Amino acid sequence: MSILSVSDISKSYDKKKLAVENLSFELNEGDFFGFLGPNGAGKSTTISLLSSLITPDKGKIYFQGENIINIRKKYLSDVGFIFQDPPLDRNATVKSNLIFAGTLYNLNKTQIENNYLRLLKKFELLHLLEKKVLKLSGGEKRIIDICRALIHQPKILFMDEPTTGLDPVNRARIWDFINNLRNKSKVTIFLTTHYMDEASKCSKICFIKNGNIIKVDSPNKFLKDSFELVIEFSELDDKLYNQIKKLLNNGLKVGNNSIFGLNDESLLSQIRKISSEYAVRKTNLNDVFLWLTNN
Amino acid sequence: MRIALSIILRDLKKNLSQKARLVASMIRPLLWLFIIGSGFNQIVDIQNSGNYFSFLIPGLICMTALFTGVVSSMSIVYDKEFGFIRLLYLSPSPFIIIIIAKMVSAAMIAIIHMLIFSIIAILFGFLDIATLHNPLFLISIMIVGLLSSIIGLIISAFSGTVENFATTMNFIIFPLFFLSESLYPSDGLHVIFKSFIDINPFSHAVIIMRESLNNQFDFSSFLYISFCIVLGLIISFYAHSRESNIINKISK
Repeated sequence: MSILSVSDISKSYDKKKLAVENLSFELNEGDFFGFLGPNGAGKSTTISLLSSLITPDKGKIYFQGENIINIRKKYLSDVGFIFQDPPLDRNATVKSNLIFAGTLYNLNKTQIENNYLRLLKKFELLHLLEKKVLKLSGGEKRIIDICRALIHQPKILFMDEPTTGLDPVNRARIWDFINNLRNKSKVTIFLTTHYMDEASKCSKICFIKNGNIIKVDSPNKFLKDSFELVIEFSELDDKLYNQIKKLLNNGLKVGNNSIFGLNDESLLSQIRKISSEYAVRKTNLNDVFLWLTNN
Repeated sequence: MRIALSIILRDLKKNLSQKARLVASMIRPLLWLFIIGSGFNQIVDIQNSGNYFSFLIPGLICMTALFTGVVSSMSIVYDKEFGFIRLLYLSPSPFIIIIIAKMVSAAMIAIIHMLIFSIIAILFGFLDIATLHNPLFLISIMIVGLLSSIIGLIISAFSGTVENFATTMNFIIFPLFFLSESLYPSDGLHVIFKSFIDINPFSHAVIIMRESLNNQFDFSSFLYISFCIVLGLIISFYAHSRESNIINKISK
């Protein structure tokens, strides 16, 4: 049985436009679900719906087979949320923040202490316990926020762009922890991110655009179903772009760059006659994202 | 209960650690007391109130509560700005508990500030030391504290950002203060002004405070304020739980 099942939900904030429309997907226990889409696609609305903070106009969300509206208290006790901006009290110490978070979930003092010590040990951040949050670096704050979200040992962890704005070292640290968490527990993770290298680690990804799901599949399946190669041109004029587009039957302008998908390498010789200033590489998830959200 | 307690303790700790704010909150009523009070004392003769200082003190105690309570309740707007409110919204605790905890913490801060102002007034001889163990006075400061915090909670539900605070002061707090019996009695005023004063719950707060300092208790004002507190709590709960409000807070 799925741990979370989203069944045909729609939500509009005004009558003119639906923020999300007929979304349906399922998360099984232990899934690592990536929810991807451009800005304004409906990701935040979906997270607000999944958190039960707002109710769908249509459709239902089930947690372990029960409508989350009917079991809101139990549901919120079993899920954790990580946001782009850590909701920590900046003037309080790390310890106070973690104790406060644990109290909100009705944990007793010993449970809270055991949990935060275990989490901080994992990140090797025990020395930060008495430090005020405002004195922490961006990466440290983010890690403390992950500990905050995990203090009550949730079954599902919603992560809304958890590494946005972090340097590569801290991103790597957070991903080490997430991988470790996945290996050692059965926690289900729902991730929204703009980094496709992060999305490639998901077991399932869902692309959303204008409030509609484009496709849900595994990263490998997305790559398999896409073009094998990508040809990338920088500053290709419109005339040449249209020529290549006609030849390959696809094309996309991304800023100053033009990208084309290619399955048949024999066409490269014909492209070379139009313009030789290109790079050929294997298709990655970033390309898939661009194809799906721009076409 | 533990959840409410931890929210209250957090807010108390946060507010009371701001010493500058505590000093600033005393400056306003003291300026009124020493400057306006001294000036008006020369020219005003209020029947049955001794001198103007005796008339002014209850209003200034309530003023301390009004400004402090509202500012403390407005901390919910700060919590929203820094994303902290999301923790409360996403906790499994019933939202009404969170709202009550916020109300109680703001009221407690207002009560502490009222007591500090009263001690200063005692030190300067404007109040008798017996006031501090007068049960009617203690009941009054609790009621006034709760009323002030609920006013702040309602305002914060409709206040998007901290920047709106000056507007709040100018359009809500000052009218509530000036259209009350804090600075002058309402007898003989134009019927429009008198009506505003009569329906202003803050005016009744001042009446309760003034009566308590005379060892009397105005039960009708007490009932009216109690009604306003309950009504305010219901309004705050619904206003803070509005979907648009939540979305605004979450998407911050």
